[in-house]
Amino acid sequence: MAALTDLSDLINRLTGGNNGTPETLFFHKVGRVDGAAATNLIAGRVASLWSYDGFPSGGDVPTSAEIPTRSTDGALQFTAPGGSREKFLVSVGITSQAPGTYMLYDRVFQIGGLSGVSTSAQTVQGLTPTPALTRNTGGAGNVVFYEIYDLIGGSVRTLTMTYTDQDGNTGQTATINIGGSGFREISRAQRIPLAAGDTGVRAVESVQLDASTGVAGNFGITIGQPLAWIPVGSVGIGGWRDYTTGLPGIPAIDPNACLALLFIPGVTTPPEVYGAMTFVEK
Amino acid sequence: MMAFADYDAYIDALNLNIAADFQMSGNSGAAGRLANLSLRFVPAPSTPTTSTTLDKSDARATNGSVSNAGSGRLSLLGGRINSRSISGVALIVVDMLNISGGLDATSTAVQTTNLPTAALTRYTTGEGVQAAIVVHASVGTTVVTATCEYTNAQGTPSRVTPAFTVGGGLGLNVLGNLYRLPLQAGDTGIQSVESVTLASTTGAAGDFGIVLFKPLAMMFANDIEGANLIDCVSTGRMVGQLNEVLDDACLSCFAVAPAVQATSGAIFLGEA
Repeated sequence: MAALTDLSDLINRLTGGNNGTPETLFFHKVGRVDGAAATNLIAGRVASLWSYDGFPSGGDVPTSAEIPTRSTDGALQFTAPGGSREKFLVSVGITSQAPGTYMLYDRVFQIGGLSGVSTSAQTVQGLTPTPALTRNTGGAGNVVFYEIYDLIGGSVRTLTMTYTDQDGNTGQTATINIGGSGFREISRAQRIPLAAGDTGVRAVESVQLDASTGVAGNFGITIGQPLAWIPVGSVGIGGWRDYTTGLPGIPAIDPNACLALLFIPGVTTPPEVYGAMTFVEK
Repeated sequence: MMAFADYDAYIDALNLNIAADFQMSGNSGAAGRLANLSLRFVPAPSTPTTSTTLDKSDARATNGSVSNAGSGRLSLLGGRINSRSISGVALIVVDMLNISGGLDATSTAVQTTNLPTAALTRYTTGEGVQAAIVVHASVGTTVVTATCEYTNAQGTPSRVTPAFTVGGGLGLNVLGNLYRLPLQAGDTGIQSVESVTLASTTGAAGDFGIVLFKPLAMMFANDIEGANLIDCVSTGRMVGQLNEVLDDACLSCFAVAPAVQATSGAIFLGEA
């Protein structure tokens, strides 16, 4: 595998030379889920756009522990690179009718069906990670967030996550609040900070609530590898990340990456999003 | 098909200054929403009475005076965007494939007037082709939900979109507004649209239709800087750098802007 050499190499491949196989993936999201208006967001707090309708369609709520891929419904689906080539993300841009910051990430693991009333340890990947990660398996840079799929209760509780860090240390623990206003609504996503010194996650063994939030609802745990942050400063303008202007450093994208979006909204309106990503192969 | 050999070849093409210019006659769309700028191009295009296949000879095209590629590959090199608003515009360069009209925004029947959309003459499988409801004459100000039947890129007919919204006040109901069709799970493009059904009346019949398009690039002008000059490698602000423009493409412009405005500018093209 070789990185893109310079501007000439990039330009040549973006116009189809040397099997560059340029691809621009255009996507849009509307503020609706399964044809119904999406739940309002909370300004300044992270939301997941995983389930939002659009082009391509929204993703399903996961019913078990799984490794989503670029072919999973809900993924921003690009074409796998040919031959033994790698896929590189040259640029990504977004405009939307709601200002905020978008995070493009590879959704490397997901599980749903967790309960907001159970105080037992709820298995995520288990002591022997099942399924184990298949992308960014070393864990460095991976982030973990809980994701609300169906409204949980109004009582503020503490979630304790037991995980394996980027160095393979098992039994690491971290805590975060869950439940209560702003931390219970559908599409809310809340990153779980790691223990001091940790810089990533290889696996999440389990999560446990200290008490019931009051409503079971449905929440999940997602592991993601951040790829790009795209700020959209105000309604109707664009935000972009153009790696061309930062050569070298155009990131390679795993051929099976499940590309998805998190959003930190500036307003409560579920966003309509129009965006694009350009890839090239080498 | 040819490719640019290197950076110098790209600069040589840029220096030829082949530009597809556009100018609007008036403000378009609603703040923060997708609008089809070409419906307000000068000279004004006619409202379609059937599903019309579009090419570079259409008034909605910016590239009528630009030759098709010879033995090479016509590529998007960048653009110049003059946003009228003080806070810019996100321009979406598209190849418009067909457009229809004649639908009634008060009807709750399954509407098939001038549908299905015309057969695609470019991107004929429909892969990556998107569709939107397009307003030709103001519909009502009541927001309603709509569904459409479409044929996906695998040729499967009678796919039904999830419900999406159409219409509304504050400029959401006027000429040029676009309402994008969301897809069913697993679909990656649209070959044709067969029908439109509104759940209730918007309050005015207006005139709307369906446009099928292949997005090619996005360019961002985020400040009033006079002419925002954008190229593929030095300015940032562009996604879809160097994408191919097919022969006879109806190269046109959609946009999302922070305020209603008339945008003008040019799309730079070059042949490898």
